[in-house]
Amino acid sequence: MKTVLSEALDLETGRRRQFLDSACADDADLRAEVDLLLAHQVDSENDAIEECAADAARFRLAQDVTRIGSRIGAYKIVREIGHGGMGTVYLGERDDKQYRQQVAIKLINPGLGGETIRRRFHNEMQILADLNHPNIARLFDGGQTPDGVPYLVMEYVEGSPINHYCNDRNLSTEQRLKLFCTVCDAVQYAHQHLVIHRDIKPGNILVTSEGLPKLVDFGIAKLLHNGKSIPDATATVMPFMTPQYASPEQVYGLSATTATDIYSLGVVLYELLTGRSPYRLKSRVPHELAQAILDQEPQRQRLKGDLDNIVLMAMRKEPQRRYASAQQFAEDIHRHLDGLPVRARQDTFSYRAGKFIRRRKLAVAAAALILLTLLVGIITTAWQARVARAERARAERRFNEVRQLANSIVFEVHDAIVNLPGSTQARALIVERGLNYLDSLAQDAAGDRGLQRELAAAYEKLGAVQYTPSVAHLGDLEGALQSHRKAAALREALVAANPNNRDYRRELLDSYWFIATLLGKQGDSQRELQMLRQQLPARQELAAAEKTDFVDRYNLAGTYAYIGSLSMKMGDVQGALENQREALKIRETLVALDPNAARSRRALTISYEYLGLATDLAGDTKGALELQQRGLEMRESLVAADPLNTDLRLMLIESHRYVGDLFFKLGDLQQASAHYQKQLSMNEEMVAADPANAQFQSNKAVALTKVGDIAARSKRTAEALSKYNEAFRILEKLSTTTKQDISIRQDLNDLWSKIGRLNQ
Amino acid sequence: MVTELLVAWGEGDKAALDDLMPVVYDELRRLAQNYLSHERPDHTLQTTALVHEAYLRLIDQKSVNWQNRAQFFGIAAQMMRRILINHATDRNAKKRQGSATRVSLDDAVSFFEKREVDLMALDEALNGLAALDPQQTQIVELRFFGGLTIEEVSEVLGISPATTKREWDSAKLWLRRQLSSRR
Repeated sequence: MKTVLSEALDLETGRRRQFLDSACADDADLRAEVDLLLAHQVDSENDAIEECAADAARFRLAQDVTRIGSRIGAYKIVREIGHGGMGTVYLGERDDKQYRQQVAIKLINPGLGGETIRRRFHNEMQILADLNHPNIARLFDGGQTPDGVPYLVMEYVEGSPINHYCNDRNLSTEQRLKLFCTVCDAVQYAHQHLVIHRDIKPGNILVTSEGLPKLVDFGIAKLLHNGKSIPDATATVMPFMTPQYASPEQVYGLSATTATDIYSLGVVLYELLTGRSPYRLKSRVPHELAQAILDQEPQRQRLKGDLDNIVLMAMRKEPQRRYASAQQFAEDIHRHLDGLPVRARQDTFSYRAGKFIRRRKLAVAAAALILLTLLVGIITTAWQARVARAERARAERRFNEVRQLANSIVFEVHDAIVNLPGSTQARALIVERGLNYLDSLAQDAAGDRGLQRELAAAYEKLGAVQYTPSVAHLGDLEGALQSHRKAAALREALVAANPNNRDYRRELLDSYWFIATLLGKQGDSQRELQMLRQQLPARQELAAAEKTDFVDRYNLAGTYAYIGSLSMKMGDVQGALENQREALKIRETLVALDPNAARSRRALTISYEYLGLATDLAGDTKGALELQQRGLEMRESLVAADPLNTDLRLMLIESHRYVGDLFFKLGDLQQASAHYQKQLSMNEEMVAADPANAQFQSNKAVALTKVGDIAARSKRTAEALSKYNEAFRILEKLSTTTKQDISIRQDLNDLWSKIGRLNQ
Repeated sequence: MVTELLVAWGEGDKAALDDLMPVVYDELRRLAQNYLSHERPDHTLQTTALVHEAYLRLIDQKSVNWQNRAQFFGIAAQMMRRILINHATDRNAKKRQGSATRVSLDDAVSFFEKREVDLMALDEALNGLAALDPQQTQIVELRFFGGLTIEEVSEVLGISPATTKREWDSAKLWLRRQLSSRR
């Protein structure tokens, strides 16, 4: 068909029929198909696809380095000065023998639209060309190159950005202020001619070696924005501007006014005087900067006299509260230089305090809680004072009150704010303070076992705040280990004194468990494993004596399972098999004892999964499949009984993936495909229910990749590509919204390879 | 390093491509993000210009031949398509949620929209075309997402300009048919 089609295309329309009649004489289907395609031919005037391609080429050509040496208008292109998304700036030269003139030529990536835009471009250019001020770079000319790229010819300014100029020459504050006032005068001139710069920043204020400041690119921002001063306000979070110097109204996507330029001038002056940016930022993410521009008050820098107030007045969030004109701004600076009172006043305290509290409700709540812990301190001190006066009876009552309050702080108050975003520091402070009081009480009452036990629990809590995977924590791994070791030491003493108290023994084992996990987090798998193995005899002893509720047997199985998966991680497949079998055995008993206990059944499916993985690793694929299938069936029944349980659903999805993988490995593509499809559709349900969940998204990408793998293996290239592409899109989005995650990068790169191979 | 990988790939080392693609992709994406966060207000963002800039940045032009250049533009255009589609997908998703957020690449996307070519539909059509005729897909990618002219495409693919033109014309018919059948 391809040959027929392209030959037909080469012919003139009149002769096509004849050709097709003979070429497709005995193939009506082919003829119909070719006719259908040819029906979509349009004349070159209306060819949107052709125009897209032509535009694309022009966009690129605007940046093409091969232009050097060629001519534009009356100018020869000498070299490139700079380039970016809007196009490229070249140094141009007019050489008339009599006089040489150097100019800057901006080749602009063409915007869209036909004559209207070009006419508007022309009108705007006229206004800009009329700006004639010694401190504003002139616009000489503009037009279009023969290949359709718009350009501007401007005065070439040989100078450095104002901030570099001031720093390189070590200018004094006074010199900087005077230079800046000249800039304000130029801006004032342009404003009087109804031109707003829209993009004032140091890079657009160049200072020549003679010390003459020149503003470049006046009004160009608007000219290039298709004449739109409002860049689509409904859709704009961060319009195309230099974010660092953008005003709040620009961030909101509102139209620029003269006050916009005043704001940017304020930021420039702030940086000239302090050498730093007005906003405290943790990153350079545009979104964060935008947020700061809208919300953060610029940091005060204790500048001399009224300078702080002057700069901050120019930078007020509300345009109407800034200087009314660039002239007023300059005048205030002159007044400051002359030692006269200035117009600018500091914002009142209540104005700012009101804003502060409105903005930071959470932080204020946390601060209130910290005050509460301080209160406990005061009561304790009061209590100690009373002991000194030997008022035993009342003192003891106080003792119990403090103990209660400290416990309440460590447990109840802490637990109440666990889910408060950003409360981790406050939680740490609360637990630490409460713990201090318990500690000092415990020293006063050394024999009180109940108090020792509370103290150990408080250390455990502190350890959890310092480091707990998957919950907000301080990231203090070493501190967490110490806290859990202190808890363990206290509990060891309790067990030694009361060997028959099962609760004490269980709590001690809990401490060991935490220590083992933290050692693992430290990367010390050997000691992690050792710590776990040490627990086994004590846990077996507890489990053997257990008559009801089976919690000790449950925990014993958990310990075996932990040891098993750790062994697998360390490459000890035999150890993994042995320990997972032990865990499986116990869990099967537990399910047999109480078939309705969902918790035991869930645990049993985990044993099937892990024993399955170890079995596969040991080379027994069929055996592994059998185990994974058993796990899958049980998970299906668990999900059926508790359909809203996300955790169970995730586990079932995982089972489908493992079973699919094993069928794939055994070459049964049909079965593999069925499980992968099931996995995909379940993941899609999860994503639909909670689109913000990164884990669900990434699971969906994995599922899509698997379905794509099947299609690729079955030579269904288009389907494979479409699945890979969809997976790619998801991961790609995740990699920009979540923190740097190595596994996402790895998955993305793998997908690239897969897509690349299919496209070969 | 990129130059060497490109040359190695050109000489038939298939594995070099696996190493090459993430680097080029990261560079393209970095450029795209960079334009948004630090550049000038008058910078509308053009994917084709980005491909070109990535080429100038990554490749030592003295060490590569026209075939290498061709291959580079081939994969870069393909990646640019991906970046563009991702963005459009995101934007559509956000629009549905009622909070259209303009993040990046918007002008490039609207660039297609203004010409009344639906980018998502185009992507789908290209996926379909890829299964039938990979070369025509590549031509469309090079022209749309790489901004190459017919002459440059023919140089890139090592076929004559006349053939390129003919293939491009057929591809256009196919695309137009796919795109119109969707409406």
